[in-house]
Amino acid sequence: MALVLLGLNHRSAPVAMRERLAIAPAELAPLLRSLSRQPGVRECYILSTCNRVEILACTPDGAPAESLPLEIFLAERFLAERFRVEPTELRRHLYSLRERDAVLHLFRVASGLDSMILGETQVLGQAKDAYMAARAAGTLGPVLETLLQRAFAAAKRVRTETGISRSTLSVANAAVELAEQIFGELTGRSVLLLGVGKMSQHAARHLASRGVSPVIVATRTLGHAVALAEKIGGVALPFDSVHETLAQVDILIASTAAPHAVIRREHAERAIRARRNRPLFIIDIAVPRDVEPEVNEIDNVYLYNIDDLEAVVEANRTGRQREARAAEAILQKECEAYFRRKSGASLGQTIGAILRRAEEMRSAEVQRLRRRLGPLTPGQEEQIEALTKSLMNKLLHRPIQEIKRAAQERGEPEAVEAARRYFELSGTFEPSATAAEAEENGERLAGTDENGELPAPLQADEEAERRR
Amino acid sequence: MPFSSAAGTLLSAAILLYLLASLAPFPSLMRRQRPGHIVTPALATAGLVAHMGAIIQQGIAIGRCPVTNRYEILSLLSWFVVLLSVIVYVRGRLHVMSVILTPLALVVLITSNLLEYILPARPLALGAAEEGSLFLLHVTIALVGVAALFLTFASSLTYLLQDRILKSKQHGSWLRVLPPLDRCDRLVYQSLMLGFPLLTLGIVTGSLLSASRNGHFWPWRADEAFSVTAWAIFAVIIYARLARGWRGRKSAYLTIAGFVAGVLTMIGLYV
Repeated sequence: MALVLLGLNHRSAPVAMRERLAIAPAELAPLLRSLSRQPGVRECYILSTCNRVEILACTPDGAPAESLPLEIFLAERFLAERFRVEPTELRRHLYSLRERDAVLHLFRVASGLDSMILGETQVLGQAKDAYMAARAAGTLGPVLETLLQRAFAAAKRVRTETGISRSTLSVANAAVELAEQIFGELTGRSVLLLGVGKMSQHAARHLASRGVSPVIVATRTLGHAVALAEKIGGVALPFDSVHETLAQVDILIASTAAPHAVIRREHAERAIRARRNRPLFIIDIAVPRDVEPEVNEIDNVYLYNIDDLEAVVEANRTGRQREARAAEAILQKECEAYFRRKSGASLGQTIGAILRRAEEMRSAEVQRLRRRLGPLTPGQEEQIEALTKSLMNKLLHRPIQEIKRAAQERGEPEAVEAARRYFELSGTFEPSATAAEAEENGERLAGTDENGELPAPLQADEEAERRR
Repeated sequence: MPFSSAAGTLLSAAILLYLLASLAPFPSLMRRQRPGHIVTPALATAGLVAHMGAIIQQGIAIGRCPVTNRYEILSLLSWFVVLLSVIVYVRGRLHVMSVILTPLALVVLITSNLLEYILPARPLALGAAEEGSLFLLHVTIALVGVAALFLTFASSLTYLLQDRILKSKQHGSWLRVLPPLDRCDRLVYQSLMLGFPLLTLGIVTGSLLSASRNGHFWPWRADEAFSVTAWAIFAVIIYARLARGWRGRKSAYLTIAGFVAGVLTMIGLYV
């Protein structure tokens, strides 16, 4: 079994390529199903966002080595044909990762460490949607199911244990956060929009969502102000009365196209006197600036221009990069933990499969013998059962000990691989046996006594097994 | 030691708890995070209990209310200061006040203890029981008032820090450690409006007490000097605020100046 991750993202591929591979939500399920029917694919999951398309697939156990590695097959046959892209061109933009690298990449994506905006959390929601889609399409199995759950848990850990997603990276949000540092609760505070840029509208909406009201809009052309006020649920104001209104609002967002300062020092001084020194927060995102920089020297006036806000964002970005290092360390640990558990599970599963296989052979032989011998007394039946079981356990005891020892000495994947070869185990395990159960079975067999008698619990287990 | 041995043990426990409470927020502050846990207020509360135990023990040992000398009075003051910081935390989840006030109270407690060790104070001469109860009233009112002014000081300090961060725009992540500016400003005003009337009342009861004891209203002792200096400055601040809407940076500076001047006067006269 192997984990294969194949994909492209904002770093590896230009938008022209990404958009050709973008998968609409409605197309996802058929695509997943068709992918899961491809040779060499046992389980699969597809994440498609505007910044990335990634396929995560898990190959069947003990599958014969294909003439073509799965990633090349997927890239050149499946994706290239599906999306009608020139295979060589596609391959230039694709990255393919296996096993540990694939798992770590998956964890990093879910935690927002691989995102264009470091530490963003939207991608986690998208990954969860992709997981739900794959589950609905029936293309997940025990391996990817567990792996994706681990990825979501790792992302949650990163978010709670590091500050990577705590500070904002948007200028509009930074303005809102500053307003909250000045006024605390924003409910009932008022804002004046001077001019209507896209960013000031964005900031006004953010402020309004935090309870800022009223939102007053003033533009050179009253018509524009009225239209925008209607759009964002505010009130329009003639431009001439801006200076008087300054005394009544708590926040001013200036973004006019005026070539000179609209708010000069004396305006702000007059306003602050009229406000009896209650603080005034001015956000000047116009270039050239609408507010004289000297206004910041007035007590109780806090003036931020676009550069200041960018600097806040930049400081947050630096903070996120610092936190990202802590996040990477967490993900490394999570990745190791995942493989530790997985190999533990597969060792247990292997031993469980060996036991089941031996038991199947034993009971088949006993059945055949019975048919040949005809009716037996209960005592004889018992003796045959006991003899064959004891023989089976004695034969298996050593090899299972050896498998466990080999797993400890040479690593579990190798030991599991060898054990499967010796016992001619097919690729799939019975899904009914969980890893823990199988592990337990293995433990109990190792604990058989000198006569090879199975302790009672395992017999009970076997009864249960047979009933199943 | 100025305290009985049982009281001394409890007091040491209180000092230790206050010290732990003062140190607890540092790990989060180092990472520039708001100390989100309740460790400081919880330790401070435990300290308060031990401290109260010490004061009661001392009262039992000397057979009267333990406000008989300046050391004991300052010990009670530090108790009120910590109590106020815990109340502010419980009411508004303002950690920063705890972070500033607990060490400050600790300094008051330890300094007065040291001073007392070097310069043992004469017990205050107290006369009749009637006078004793007036004295108790005076001390309680004055101490709660002064404790409120400690809060005024701490919130003014926080206000100035936050104002500087916002004005200089050099904040990074320090910004979110401190409470919003408006919150600090309101706390300055509220604590001043609690502290100032109590201080006034304390001065009035004090001079009444002085009149009944010594025959004159104003003997110019240390605590009186402190009260009057501070009273005058705070009166100006409150007047300017109510009449002129005078607030913000300069008001905060003056508040701190008033507080520091008061403390200096008291220290000067104490030694």
